[in-house]
Amino acid sequence: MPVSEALPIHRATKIEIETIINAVSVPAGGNTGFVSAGHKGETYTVFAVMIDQQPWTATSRTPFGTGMLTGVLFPMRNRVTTTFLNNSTPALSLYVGLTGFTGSLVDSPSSIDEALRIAVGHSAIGIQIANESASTATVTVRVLRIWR
Amino acid sequence: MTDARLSEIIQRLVAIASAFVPSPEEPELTMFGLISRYNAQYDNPELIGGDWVKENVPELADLPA
Repeated sequence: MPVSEALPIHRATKIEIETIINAVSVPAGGNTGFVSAGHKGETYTVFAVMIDQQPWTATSRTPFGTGMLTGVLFPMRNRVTTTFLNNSTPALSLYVGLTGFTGSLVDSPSSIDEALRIAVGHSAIGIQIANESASTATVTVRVLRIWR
Repeated sequence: MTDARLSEIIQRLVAIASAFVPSPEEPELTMFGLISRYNAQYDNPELIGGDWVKENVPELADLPA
């Protein structure tokens, strides 16, 4: 290779999928409680939700405290009126962390590119799913970890 | 939970699994699919879920999530 030619850079992407909520039955009006994703140093943490009742809401925490917010996930999943029954096509949300509250870096990312630029990882990442329907819901959540 | 109730739940779960018919959209029974069907067909005051199945129904313990 000529000295003047740039060296090729290969950025390996590693992924890992882990089930953190395994077909939990959630009563009408109840929730799963906060379930930790067990951050492993990944660049991005994506939650994959399956649920058979609607409406439902996903919330998570900022790095600063234990308050539950919808806006730290992109896209937000707030009173969703769609069920997700197929494990090949769950509802995906990226954990962003520093969005969705007064005083946040960005109130609401307008695109996945923007969300990816400001997404952060920390040890307290997790999720809670609320069943806002009138029936018992079945909930499964898997975590897709992406290292880049 | 009484032994009778335990047996009843296990029988119902095994029956659901036995009746499962694969389809292009759902090529295999998952733990989610099993519990979702159980919740749709029966009252579930014990809120049994995937972890309960793993502990109590060995023949269904290895279903994928």
